[in-house]
Amino acid sequence: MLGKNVVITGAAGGLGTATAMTLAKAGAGVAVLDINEVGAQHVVDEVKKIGGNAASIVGDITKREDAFALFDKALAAFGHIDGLINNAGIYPRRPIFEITDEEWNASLGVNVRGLYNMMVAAVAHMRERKQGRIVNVASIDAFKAHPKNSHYAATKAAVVSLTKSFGLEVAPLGILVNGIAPGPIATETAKRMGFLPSIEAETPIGRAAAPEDIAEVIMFLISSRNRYMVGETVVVSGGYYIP
Amino acid sequence: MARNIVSHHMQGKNIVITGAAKGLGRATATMLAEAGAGVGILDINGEGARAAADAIAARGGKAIAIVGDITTRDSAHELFGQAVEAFGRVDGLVNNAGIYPRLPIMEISDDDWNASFAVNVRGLYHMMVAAIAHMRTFREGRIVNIASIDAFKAHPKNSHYAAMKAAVVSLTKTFGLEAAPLGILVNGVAPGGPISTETAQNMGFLPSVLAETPIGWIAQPEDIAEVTMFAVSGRNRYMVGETVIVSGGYYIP
Repeated sequence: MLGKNVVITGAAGGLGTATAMTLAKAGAGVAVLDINEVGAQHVVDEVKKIGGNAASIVGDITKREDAFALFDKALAAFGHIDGLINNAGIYPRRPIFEITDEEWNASLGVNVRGLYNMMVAAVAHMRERKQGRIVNVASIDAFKAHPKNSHYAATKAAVVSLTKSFGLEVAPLGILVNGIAPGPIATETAKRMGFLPSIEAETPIGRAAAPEDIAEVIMFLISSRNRYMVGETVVVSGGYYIP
Repeated sequence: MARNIVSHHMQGKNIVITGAAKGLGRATATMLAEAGAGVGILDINGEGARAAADAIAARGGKAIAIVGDITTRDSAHELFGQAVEAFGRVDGLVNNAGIYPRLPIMEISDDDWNASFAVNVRGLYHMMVAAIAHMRTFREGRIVNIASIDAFKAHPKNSHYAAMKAAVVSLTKTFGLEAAPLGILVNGVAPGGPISTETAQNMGFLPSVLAETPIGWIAQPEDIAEVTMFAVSGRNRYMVGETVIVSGGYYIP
């Protein structure tokens, strides 16, 4: 990862932060992209504390023009971008019959449209260099019935589909697009929501993932050690979900 | 070849690789050894196993040849025991041994079936059982089963092979679930698309497969081995029962 520059969206959150730190420790420059300015700056500060290189890019990816402008800012800060990690996502649980239009639109906006917009921006740059890596963070909920958060699950299924389609489309350009579908992760948000203990009881490995456990797989997929995976979403679930 | 900065935490680990005398298995063993692991080159082909081990040792790596047949329970356990004897502790097992003779779909004999099953499934199973019995005493281990994209798709040109690889994917899930509480992570790799091994070259299908592979070039065995190495390393801490497809886009389920 030395000398590589990676954009991470939603990098102010638990998994995004762990991924930024893991990549920075491996020598990558990290563009910390988030709508949360204070959170993004905090991640940049943490990376710099360990001697790494990071810049914060603050804005909203849900509109095409905004996403393109944000990617351009990252490009201006780093000179070239080798990888994009589409980690931004929202996870508000809603009872299955009560999802409003606004809630649907919000979920689609961040989880799908924003992810798509960032991929288009990244591909436009990476194809000129004939190389690149994109990793889309989906979820095991993409693959299973999930009445407790059905709109989230549907948007994550859409992400898996986009990973396949973009994978096929841009592999000839030297850009490898793959995904990761995490199971339960012990982020601060998850701990606050209170569902980890019941899930851990059903997880063969016996614990929720540390965010760093998931970040390791993301780092492999975004690295040059991954030379031949295309369109594949890797399930990382501790056995909680095996399709 | 430039060395990658990021280590895989393989230094000092010992890994048994079956079918490692040539092809993908040998490339995997070589890569693991270069990353600092001790490797057990297990194969029924003694001359090939010893040559592979010698080549690794000549480059400063640590390798032993383990020669024998994994298709019976007693033999497989004895062979794994040789690795434990030599290394003291075995941290990982890569079940790479497999046979791939193509047969027309209606003409597969009982012997053809039995041979395919014995190496591709029963031998793989026996090695897992032996490895888990050892690894559970340390509450730590990694197993990677090499399947194939043929596990997932219709494959009339080699239907018995495909069926055996589907069985391997199933075993990876089941053993994944069973062994995770013991600290042993069992996962798989399903290679596909055009991969430059001697076998593939001899069979002559690489050009036509390449024509249908979006990435547009033929994989070297090392390109597949990178994924296997990640899955058998200490960097993999949370994958369980998962078979990862590595196909250059030739096959996306």
